[in-house]
Amino acid sequence: MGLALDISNLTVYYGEDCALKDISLQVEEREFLGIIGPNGGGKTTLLKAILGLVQPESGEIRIYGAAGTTARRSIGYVPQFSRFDRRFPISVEEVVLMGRLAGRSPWFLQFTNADRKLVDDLLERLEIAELKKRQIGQLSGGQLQRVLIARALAVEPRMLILDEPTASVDSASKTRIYEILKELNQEMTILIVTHDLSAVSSNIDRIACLNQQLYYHGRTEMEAGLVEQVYGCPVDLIAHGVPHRVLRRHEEAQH
Amino acid sequence: MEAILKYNFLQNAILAAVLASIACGVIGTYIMEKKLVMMSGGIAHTAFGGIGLGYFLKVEPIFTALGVSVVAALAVAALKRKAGTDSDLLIGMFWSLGMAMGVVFIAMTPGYPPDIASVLFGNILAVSRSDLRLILGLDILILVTVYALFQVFKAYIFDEEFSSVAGVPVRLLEYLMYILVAVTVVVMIRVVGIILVIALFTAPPAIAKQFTYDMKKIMGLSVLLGITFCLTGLWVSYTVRLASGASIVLVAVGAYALISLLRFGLRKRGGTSS
Repeated sequence: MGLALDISNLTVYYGEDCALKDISLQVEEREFLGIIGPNGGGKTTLLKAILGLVQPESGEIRIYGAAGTTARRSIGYVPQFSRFDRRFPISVEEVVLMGRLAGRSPWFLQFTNADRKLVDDLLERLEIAELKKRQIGQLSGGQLQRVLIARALAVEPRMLILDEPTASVDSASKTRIYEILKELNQEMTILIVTHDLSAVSSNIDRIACLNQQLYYHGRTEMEAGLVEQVYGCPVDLIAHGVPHRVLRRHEEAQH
Repeated sequence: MEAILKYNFLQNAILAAVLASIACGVIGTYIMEKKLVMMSGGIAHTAFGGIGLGYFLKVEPIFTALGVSVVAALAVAALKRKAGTDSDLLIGMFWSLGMAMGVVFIAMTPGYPPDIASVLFGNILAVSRSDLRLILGLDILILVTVYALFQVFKAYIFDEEFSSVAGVPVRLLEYLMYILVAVTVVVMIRVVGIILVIALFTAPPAIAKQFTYDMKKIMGLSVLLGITFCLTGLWVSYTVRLASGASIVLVAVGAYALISLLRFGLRKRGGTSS
């Protein structure tokens, strides 16, 4: 299996501020990678760089061996649903059809019956077929999240990139969303930015810890010291009181 | 009714009202959803600089207004991207700069000062045949562009990032949208003038959105509402001899207030009885 994503020596600046410093990261095909790290640690910047939404200062990003706009066609992007204007005049079907814009000429673009069929199948698969004609303001957070996943799948991607997919979603929906992602992982590579460490531990193969630099990239169980280094806070906050452990059992810190 | 058949200027006014409302309803919907209201106000006011330039250069002011407002719109878009400056601040500066330039150009123009009031507040009863031809031409331009790019415009306004990743040319669409706003402003100058145009950009789509969540229907309904407001305003202005632009705006905003109050009242009553 080849590399789905190959980032080498990526550095990104926002004006004077260094957001990402010399990041190198390889993701195998069909890997399920979680990107964690503190707020402002550059997780979203990394996503945006992969998606071509910010210009890196230096470094290279290859997606399935290719770079640039065409390479990004193989990405299905699921943004945070909380940033949407819920009063926007658009139906579930119309949102998912947006995925079919990929790679098409924008002039006089009409969706075909094949497009609509694909959208129907995706809505079916994500168990939201009955919401097809609803305006997005009439959906719950979990439902909207699934709509956005369906839209990303409508691109027919080889890699799915999700930004905080379970933030402010109820726990039943959260479980279901991870089940769906697990299933999709059989067919495609999945990259996910999350705060939700319980989900990380029980679902995700590997993690990348990001705080301006890449601190750790490996199997989910990781060294306690590293998490402290990344988060700059006691590990207990993260490791204890969570049903599944992110971390190996470790000694209480000596104070 | 007799008057309409008798007077050419009334026929022109009615045609202008209909044509302007078409542009305004369609682009007003975009302005509302992309939250470009202040931007549109800024573009409208820079058009005044163009009007002044036209008088100064002795060319038809509406053409220079078109040129200047399109250039200003593109400049704001480009500066926003390049400098990362808040477009809010830029709009504020362009807003007054446009007006100031208009005043300066007109002051520098020898001879009698032109009728500024009709530019600022519109005079639909003074629309000429050649004005109508220009408005019709711009209307067609706007409608063809919106029709050709309808799906991608919707995607761009709803989610610029996703559209960009999907390869939709979002930057081109952004510039095009600003140009469309500038063109629509120029269409509206004759009808309600530079200062009052914002009311016709906002009131019809704001009312339409209370009744439907389908973008095409919001556009269609906005066009119909715009026509209704313009014709009612025209009638009011003709019968009680008020300025036409002001009458149209009063009718439009009045209708918005009335409809919102009625709906609010209904919802409240529905809420207490259940």
